[in-house]
Amino acid sequence: MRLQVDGAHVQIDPDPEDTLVDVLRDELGSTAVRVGCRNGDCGTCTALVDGQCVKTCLVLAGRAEGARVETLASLGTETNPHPVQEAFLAEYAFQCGFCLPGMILSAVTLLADTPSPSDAEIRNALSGNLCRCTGYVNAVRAVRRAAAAR
Amino acid sequence: MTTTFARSLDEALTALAESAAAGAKPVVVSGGTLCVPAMVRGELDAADVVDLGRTGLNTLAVGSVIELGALVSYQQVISSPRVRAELPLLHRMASGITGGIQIRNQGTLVGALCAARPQSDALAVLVALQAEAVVVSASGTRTAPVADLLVSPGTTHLAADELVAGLRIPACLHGTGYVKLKFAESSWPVVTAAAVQDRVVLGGVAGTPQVVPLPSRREVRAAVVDHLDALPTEHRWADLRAPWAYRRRVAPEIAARAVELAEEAR
Amino acid sequence: MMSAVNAAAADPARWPKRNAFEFAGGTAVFIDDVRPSVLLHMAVVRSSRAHARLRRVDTAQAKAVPGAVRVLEGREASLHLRPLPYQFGDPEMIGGRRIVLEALPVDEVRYVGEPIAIVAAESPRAARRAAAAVVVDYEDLPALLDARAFLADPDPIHVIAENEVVSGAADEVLRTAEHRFGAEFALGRSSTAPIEPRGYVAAWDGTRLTVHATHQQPHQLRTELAEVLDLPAHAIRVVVPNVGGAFGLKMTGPVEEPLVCLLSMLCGRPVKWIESRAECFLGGGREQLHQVEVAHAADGRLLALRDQVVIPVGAEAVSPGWRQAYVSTASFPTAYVVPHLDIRSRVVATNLPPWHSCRGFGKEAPVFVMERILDMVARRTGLDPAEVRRRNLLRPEDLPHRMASGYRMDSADLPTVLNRVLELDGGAEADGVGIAVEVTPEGGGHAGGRSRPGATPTVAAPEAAAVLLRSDGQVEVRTGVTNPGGGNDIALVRLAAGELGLSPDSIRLVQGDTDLCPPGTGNASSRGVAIGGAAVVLAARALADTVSRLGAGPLTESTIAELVVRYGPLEHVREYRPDPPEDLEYRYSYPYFSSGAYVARVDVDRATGRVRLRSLTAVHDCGRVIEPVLVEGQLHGAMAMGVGLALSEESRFDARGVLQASSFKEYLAPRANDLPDFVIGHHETRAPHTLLGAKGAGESGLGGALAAIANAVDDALARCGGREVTSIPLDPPTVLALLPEVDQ
Ligand SMILES: Cc1cc2nc3c(=O)[nH]c(=O)nc-3n(C[C@H](O)[C@H](O)[C@H](O)COP(=O)(O)OP(=O)(O)OC[C@H]3O[C@@H](n4cnc5c(N)ncnc54)[C@H](O)[C@@H]3O)c2cc1C
Ligand code: FES
Ligand code: FES
Repeated sequence: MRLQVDGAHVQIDPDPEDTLVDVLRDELGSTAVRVGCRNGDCGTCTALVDGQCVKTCLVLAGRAEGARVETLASLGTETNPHPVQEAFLAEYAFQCGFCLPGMILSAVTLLADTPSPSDAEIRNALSGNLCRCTGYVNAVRAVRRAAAAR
Repeated sequence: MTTTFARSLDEALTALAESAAAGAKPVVVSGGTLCVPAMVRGELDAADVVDLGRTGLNTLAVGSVIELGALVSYQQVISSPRVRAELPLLHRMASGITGGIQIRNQGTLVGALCAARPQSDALAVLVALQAEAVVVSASGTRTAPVADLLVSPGTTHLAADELVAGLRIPACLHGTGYVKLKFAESSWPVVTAAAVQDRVVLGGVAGTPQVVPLPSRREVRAAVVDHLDALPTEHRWADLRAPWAYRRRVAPEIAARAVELAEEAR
Repeated sequence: MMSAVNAAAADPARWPKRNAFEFAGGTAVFIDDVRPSVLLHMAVVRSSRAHARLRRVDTAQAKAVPGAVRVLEGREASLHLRPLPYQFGDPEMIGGRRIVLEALPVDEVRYVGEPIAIVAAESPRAARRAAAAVVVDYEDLPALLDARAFLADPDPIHVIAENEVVSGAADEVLRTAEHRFGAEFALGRSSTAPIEPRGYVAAWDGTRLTVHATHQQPHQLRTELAEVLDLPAHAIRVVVPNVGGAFGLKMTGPVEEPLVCLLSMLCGRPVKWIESRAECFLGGGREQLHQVEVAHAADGRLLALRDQVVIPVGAEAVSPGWRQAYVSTASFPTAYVVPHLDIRSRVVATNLPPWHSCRGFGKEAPVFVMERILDMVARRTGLDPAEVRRRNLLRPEDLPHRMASGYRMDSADLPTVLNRVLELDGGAEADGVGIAVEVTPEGGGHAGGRSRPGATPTVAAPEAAAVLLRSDGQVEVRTGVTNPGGGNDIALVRLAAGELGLSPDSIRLVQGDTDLCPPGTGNASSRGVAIGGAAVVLAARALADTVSRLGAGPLTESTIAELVVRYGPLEHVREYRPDPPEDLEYRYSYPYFSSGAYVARVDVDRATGRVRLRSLTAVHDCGRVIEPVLVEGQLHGAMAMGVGLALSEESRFDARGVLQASSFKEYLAPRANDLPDFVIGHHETRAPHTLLGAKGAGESGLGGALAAIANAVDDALARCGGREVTSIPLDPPTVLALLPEVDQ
């Protein structure tokens, strides 16, 4: 099957039981989606599939045939980070950083629809992702900051 | 294990029919949020899998009856202004689904229905709205009231070669209310109540949603208590979150709150 | 506008975190990203019985599974492995008994989930299939699953340690005092649950074993592996990649550590094991039962406290997990003066999975118990809870204070911290308000490997650092302290840079590699900055001295490179240990105490028992604050975990000892919309006995938040005729059961 990952066209031959996160990590070597639960709970396997923010551990790989997948790695660069990346970095919104794929992509998705979210909307938008290090205070601050920077 | 990524409903039905004819119990995947992790863990032992992801069953049509395909996600329901106007109860329920943006994008109403879990949001609401499921197989189509499809926790009246292609829900503009009790953002709903006109439907108190007719809006609590006390012991629901006694104690209040919301929405 | 922001952002020096963009850009390497070629994958066959004799472990079918390369059960493993060494010094030193434990059991399993056999296979899926094909024949034995069952029939065979902390004449005072009450407190079993579970990649090349591990203690792991695998320590290299959170889970001791290495040695190929989420949830800790009797004066002063404690620590294990039971007992009576104290605990082995170290490290339970007691005294005397605390708190002039256990509370200003948090609390409208004062003994830890038999571990272990010049013009700092994600790296780099007059980006920090770094305790007990940082400062100072003696001007990229050409790297290694007290009466396990005070405000839904946290305010004293952002970050994380423990997190097992909370849908860790913004104030009481004056930040916050919330719920319940809060977590069924059933 073919798919497009972070702009590159790739061809792979997944097992019928493979989920999209397996393919992205094991076949394509991505470090920008990770596995924390394989149960849809933690969000660290999050990617945008055809523009939709999804947890890739819940998607059978074959379902993504022909899809355009964007991971955290596609957002920005160190010298030109995406405003949400910049905000997470500036606010020290993470410690170990393991949860960032879901945190950042959820924030990006929120701001695309809701440019000036309330705190409740921010917390709701981040709620698909678990972070065990931080208590979310700085992540909420970071999303506020990214919203203000737009 | 064979996995079919069907490109149309017909392809899906053919795959189902073949698998069923071979005596297997095929697994149908709509959103996949429940069954994919269960397969990965080996809890759901699937010989054949039919994934509907590419069937295009994601249309949402709003007329006097709202029709939604098997792949329609909670987010589609939330984003539709027509659903918001004509099925505010469904809108409200979908907006409260947890798991974040991702699960609202991925989870489906049909998947929630077919999973038939007492600890779910959708069931009581679908029953309250008198939704009908469009059940199809290679040999034909039937419609069934959602309440009739639900047999017991985790079990539906669907044959191995049947799937639910979509739901038909009559518009219900006013006077509805929905309240769910859950313990934390991560927790499954514990007790849910969907109030419509002269009844309230309770989730999380029994193996299937319980319709409690309300002779008068003042008597909600008493009606719920009577109903619950009459439930045969084997139908009473309890899970890790809370024992039956707790559900029995809070359900009248949850129902009353749902009815109160419904009153406000009149 | 947008471009202006991005232009500013292009300066990574503005970002508090080091290598920050790796994380935000998704290129950071964690253990599961380590993928050597010809890799095999390990799966573990686990017991389905809580306590049983192993009649037969049949691996024949498993070996036939396509892709399976090696299947190993206990008997065969025992031919290759020596018994596991204890990982917290000798158990006798904390009143404990010792047993011989093997990595895989030969005769008997002791909990559901205990490893029985292991498989190496070509893919994770093949490994799981082969593991599922191992047939185990059990003969069930009676199982002890909870502490209350032990209390009903306290058979001493289950008691693996007894500890007592006694001073004064509590019996006498309790018998005669005018104001007395008793209470029973319970803390549920909970876990750590970092988002990245455990994982290891072991690679044996015929002479050397390289182990990549998501780990807190690389040097300890090396020592343990050397002993169990019977290899010289220098034949083992442990490397720690980025760690996705640890919180105690990733300390040395779990049996998968030697097992994955053994498979690599037997197969001659690298072997990886990544724990599943359900496996990760097996581990836990913190569960305790307390039966207290309290005597107090009419003015709210505490006179005597007796506490009979039962601490069920799961199956016996060599990991530092059950040492927490000792720390709990020894930390009484926390921040307060209690003239007559009698704390006796029994540490009980049960047929649940063994404890692992859990953030809080046993210090949270005494805070919960003491803070509940203080509120109960307030209720019984009609005094304000804050006033009752003021009358009982240790004052600055009481310090240093020898606690009844011998622990030395070095310094603090508890009354000020309490007063400040009361000022800082916004006073939001809420159903209930609770306060708590917390002291956290910190900085403990023992050096790599076991301490000598007979040696008393009353002195905290040292940390070491090496600082050297590099030919590329940078300065390299190597430390025995590791970084579980909390960011001590940032502080260490700042400290070195400060001593050397360099900017932080000229410092290269090397952590978590036993070939490169001097030995150290890794990451435990909030030592990273206060002790590890001091070693860095000493080494950097020594280097700076040498440089100035050599007459080289201020260090720059070019002077560094020149110095290296002329003199070599000028490596300086220094060790640091906080000054031990002269008075040998102290049991000096913890060189400093952090402290803090907390105010929680909650709403309680009286009809359902559901609690909502409205606000949580802290004033925290961790000595000199080196990096405020880091300290706040640590505190946020600990407070969030405290909220989880107070309200929703619980590792529950069924009547057969099977874990019920095996995913994040049952183990309810707080999410963003469960929590309010936390408000934090700092107070600095410098640690008199550490070089930098810093204390630890990392564990404190957990017990304080949890106790303040419990007190707030209690306050809310009291206002509507509810009974007193005596347990956590305060999930809705628990809370509702405390409320009177009103006929609505
Ligand atoms: C993090 C998280 C949070 C969640 N939060 C909530 C919540 O707040 N409330 C709630 O109610 N639920 C919640 N869920 C549960 C669940 O994901 C959703 O309710 C969802 O709607 C299930 O739909 P699905 O399409 O993903 O189901 P699937 O996993 O696709 O299917 C579920 C079951 O139905 C069967 N099935 C699916 N489609 C069909 C079909 N067309 N015909 C016949 N059988 C079919 C499948 O074989 C399977 O047995 C949550 C799940 C996660 C992972
Ligand atoms: S790994 Fe997909 S949500 Fe946790
Ligand atoms: S920063 Fe560690 S899990 Fe979020």
